[in-house]
Amino acid sequence: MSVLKKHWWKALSVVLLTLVTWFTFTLPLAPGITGVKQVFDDNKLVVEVDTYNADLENVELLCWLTSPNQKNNIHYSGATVLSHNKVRLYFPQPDTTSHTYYHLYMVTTKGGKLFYPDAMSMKHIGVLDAAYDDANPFPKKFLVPDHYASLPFQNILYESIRNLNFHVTMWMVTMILLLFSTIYSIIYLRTEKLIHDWRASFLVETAMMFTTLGIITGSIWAKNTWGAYWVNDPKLNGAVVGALVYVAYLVLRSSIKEDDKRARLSAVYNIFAFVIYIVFIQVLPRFTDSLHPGNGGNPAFSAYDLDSTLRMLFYPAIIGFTLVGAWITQLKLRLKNIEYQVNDED
Amino acid sequence: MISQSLLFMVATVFTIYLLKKDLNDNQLFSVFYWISVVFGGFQLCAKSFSNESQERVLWLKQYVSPLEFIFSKLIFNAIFLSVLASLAFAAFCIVFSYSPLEANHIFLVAAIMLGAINLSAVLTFVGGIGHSAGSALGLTAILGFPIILPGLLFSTRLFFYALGDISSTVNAPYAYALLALNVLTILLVSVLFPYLWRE
Repeated sequence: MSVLKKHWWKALSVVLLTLVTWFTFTLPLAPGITGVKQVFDDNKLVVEVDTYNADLENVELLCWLTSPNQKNNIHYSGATVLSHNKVRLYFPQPDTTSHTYYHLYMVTTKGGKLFYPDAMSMKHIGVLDAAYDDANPFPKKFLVPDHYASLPFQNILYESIRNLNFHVTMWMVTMILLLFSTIYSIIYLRTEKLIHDWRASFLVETAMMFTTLGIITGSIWAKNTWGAYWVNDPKLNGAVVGALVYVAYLVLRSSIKEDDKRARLSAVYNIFAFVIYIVFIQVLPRFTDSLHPGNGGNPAFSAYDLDSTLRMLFYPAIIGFTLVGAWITQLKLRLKNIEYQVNDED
Repeated sequence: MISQSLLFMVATVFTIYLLKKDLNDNQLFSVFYWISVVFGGFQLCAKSFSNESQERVLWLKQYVSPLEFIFSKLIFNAIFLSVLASLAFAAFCIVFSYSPLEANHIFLVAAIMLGAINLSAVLTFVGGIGHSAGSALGLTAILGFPIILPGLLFSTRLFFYALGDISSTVNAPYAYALLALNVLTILLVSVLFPYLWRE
């Protein structure tokens, strides 16, 4: 039991990461609309809808178009299911004089709530339930909760949204480790105990490992969503220069021989470097247009698509990877301790 | 030392002129200008510790507090880098026949002054670290280059907007950001320098 008392956090990290990895790759993606093609056919609006994961042949549908101000709803008059993921919807001719733009909503009995903001080319995120009010509630069978937990559907991202639990997590963990490294540097400057300097430096080394992983996972994601492994983007460039700052820190450490001097100078540089790092990663990208979510007017994930299922995986992933980072750092620290003692005896 | 860095800067400007004779693009103008200021900054500020004689530093350590020392150094370097940057701008205007009358003067001066102050503060600090590490300019350059980049990006952008007299609503955020970065840098330097100073 005493082993568990001392090492519970390592076990926790293994359990968390196993669960996160398992669920990240096995949970299905929620259904979604991938494309809408509209054809006007005398007095009727015919829309061909491509969906993803919706299993249309086995569910009942409810569809309507909503104007941006959500006051004008057009309910469908008929639907022809063409395949599992393709359906042709018939609407009465919309009143184009008052509202030119409409969003498309679909609800299925399998718990899928599908939304396409751009059905008639206008970007707007609406409230799903707006089309039905208290006086005219949803039919009951459409109100069933999701039969299974699912990851949110996002256009462009599709299945690659699973990467969120790894890519974003890597950067979160990097920043957490660097924050702790800075704290240990401050503690070193106040106490002048060499152990704090080691902690700070090993935390930076571990953080650089996570940075590398973050760049690799981000690169794969970029290839699948933006079409290239690397794009000229302030967030990406900031990440690289931020990494350079810390490589310079490691170079500084390697160029000084005396322990105390190395500890003092690198602690001073480390504190400065962390502030600059935060400026690079969090402040600079907000000044220019960026493709990356969370910058230049792009909403971050949490704004609309980090739903509760994804959150339940995302936060444990951060905790799990942070604990793994601490674990790696602890191993390095032990090794250093042994080396130091052996050298001392010589 | 000052004449050294002045000569270095003038040589840089003339080299740029020889390599590219007509510089009509404001963006290129801004980039080349700030690169030459960075060169001058490395000459002037990053070396300011290694240029002090050992005896003088020992004497100063006994009679002066670290804050007095670093602030006098920061003020000296900031003033001289600003003067140097202004001279470099004059040289750029002459060789590339750019009329400064076209520019937005307030933001132009703000860009040059704030950019030079930020550069000099960061480079003086990093030069101090490099000097304490007992290393020549090489380590200072490795430590300094990534760290000066945020200020450099802001001042390059601000300078570019000022050259083209682009409306102040666009560039005012950059000026504020540069000002905030300056305050942050000087605050950090004043907190951290005493630890660098004690041997």
